Amino acid sequence: MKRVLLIIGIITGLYCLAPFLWTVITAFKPPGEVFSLPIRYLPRSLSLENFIDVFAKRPFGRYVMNSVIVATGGTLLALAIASAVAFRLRNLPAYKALALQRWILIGAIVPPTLLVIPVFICIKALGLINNPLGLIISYAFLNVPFGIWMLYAAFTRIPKELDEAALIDGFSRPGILARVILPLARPAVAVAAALIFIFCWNEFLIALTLMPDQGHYTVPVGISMLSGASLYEVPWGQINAAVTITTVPVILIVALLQRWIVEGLTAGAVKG
Amino acid sequence: MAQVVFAKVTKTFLKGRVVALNKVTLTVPHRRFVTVLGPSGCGKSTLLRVVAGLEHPDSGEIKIGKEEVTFIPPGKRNVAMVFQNYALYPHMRVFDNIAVGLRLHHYPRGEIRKQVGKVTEMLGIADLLKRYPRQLSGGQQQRVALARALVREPQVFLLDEPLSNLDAQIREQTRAELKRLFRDLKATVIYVTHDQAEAMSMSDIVVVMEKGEIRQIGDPETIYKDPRHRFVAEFVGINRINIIEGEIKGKAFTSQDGSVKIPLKKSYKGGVALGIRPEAIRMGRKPGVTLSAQVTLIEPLGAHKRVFVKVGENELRIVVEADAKVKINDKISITFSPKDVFLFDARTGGRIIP
Repeated sequence: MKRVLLIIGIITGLYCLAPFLWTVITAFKPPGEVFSLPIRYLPRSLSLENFIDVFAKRPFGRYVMNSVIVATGGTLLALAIASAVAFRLRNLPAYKALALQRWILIGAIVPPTLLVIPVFICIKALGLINNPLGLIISYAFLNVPFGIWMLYAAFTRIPKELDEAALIDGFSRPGILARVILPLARPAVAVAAALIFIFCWNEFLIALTLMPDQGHYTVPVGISMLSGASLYEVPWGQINAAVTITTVPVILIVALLQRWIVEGLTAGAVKG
Repeated sequence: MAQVVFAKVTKTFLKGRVVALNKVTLTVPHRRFVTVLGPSGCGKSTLLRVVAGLEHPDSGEIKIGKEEVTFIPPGKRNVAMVFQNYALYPHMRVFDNIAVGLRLHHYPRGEIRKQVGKVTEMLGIADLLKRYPRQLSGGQQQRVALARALVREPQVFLLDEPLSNLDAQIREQTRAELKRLFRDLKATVIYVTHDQAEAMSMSDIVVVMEKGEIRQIGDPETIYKDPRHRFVAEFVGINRINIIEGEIKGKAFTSQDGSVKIPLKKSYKGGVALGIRPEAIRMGRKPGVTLSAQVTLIEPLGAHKRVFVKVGENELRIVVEADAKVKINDKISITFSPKDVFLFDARTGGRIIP
């Protein structure tokens, strides 16, 4: 039985990872070999040429920088707003908090694509087109409902007496949130941060709409704009190299937050 | 002077549907250990939280010392509170748990270390400063919570059932330690509990509450010997008081079933509840009121036995020596003095003083 499960696990893993593996392998192929027929599944030799080309011949470093700024900013802003709202909701009676949350969740149900035009109009009115701040605000706006949902669930599991003890000790309300509630809700904060960061990192449509200037492209937009010398030439090698690089920060973020996430999974294990 | 004064304090919850405090007027004198005693839901915790500033009353006012504090936030009042579940910060070490309040009040660093050292030494937890709360036993956590309160040197200590999460054995020991500690500190303490034994053994003054109202205020001995309300008589005492419903006819109390008749000097209109403490009843025929009874249940308690007997329709509890010879279904005589009897109005619960 155990062995069957293991085999199923391995097959599932391979199935999920296959497209990604294909991407990575293609990225390391020498440019000429990408189109060779019959298809060569494993490259004859490993080559870094695609990676070098991406950075040397294209402003890809710039795109990565833009993405890091926008995704980090969007995540932090979304978490800041969400944690403040969730903290306030926690002090309401449960039925009121849940009723309010249902309305807030409508924001999470609407597909972001539908919101592109209104978001564009708002950001334009703010004069933030081609400004990373515009994208940060939009990403935060799109992710706040999810953040509230996630953090509220974690916050309500923290006993109210801690807030009260903190009030008597002389903490201010924001002080309680920052120094008592958030540290205790760290696992939930980490999960929310990871998921929101990944959303921001991968988002394409809004990034394209709000930052049409090439200097402000984020990674997904930049990759889609990679083109060859003519309209008919698609630089697959470079595209795959770019995609491979793009996954690195996401893996790093998850690895970094993993400690907190795992801590959360075992927090209730020992009475205390 | 750090007396605490409640003036007609009213607090309701759920838009007035639950009355936690109903025009409560009470003075907690300077440097006294005052226990607020009552069943859950009687408003005793609300009383404490109003002093802490965690709840604001609907009407009335609170004074700590000479200062009116009714709407002053908790951090700005000089009070400290120990919670039933201790409410230690799980992510902070013991030292920080104790020191954080001082830091927020801008004590210099050296002073903080000195103060924390002093209280932890006093409570015997000085070697635990580097631990996290989850690495401590219940009793140790309780001491840390206490240290956090003591280190602030507040005007008033507020303790909300601080012993009820401890094992029975440690509880009794801690009870004595707490009493000694606060007596030596000469502190003003408001202590909330539902355990009448804690209230009786620890306090200078006991305040008995029921349904948001104070039923009686007095020292433990008075509360026990001279209850002013049926509720007080029933709630206080290790052995629950016997209550016999009846009425007074022609200068004698007669129980509803007619089996108990007690001569009295006084007459009273309306239903009466007669209270007699189990400790006040003796086995055998002696001077006083004697009733014949049948034993229905015996509970050995070590030094004593609690014996349940039936007198007519009424079940009474009596306490006898451990070596008293009684068996189930024995027919025995029980005796008590009319002086030990309390009479309460059956409807209002108020005491009828003969």
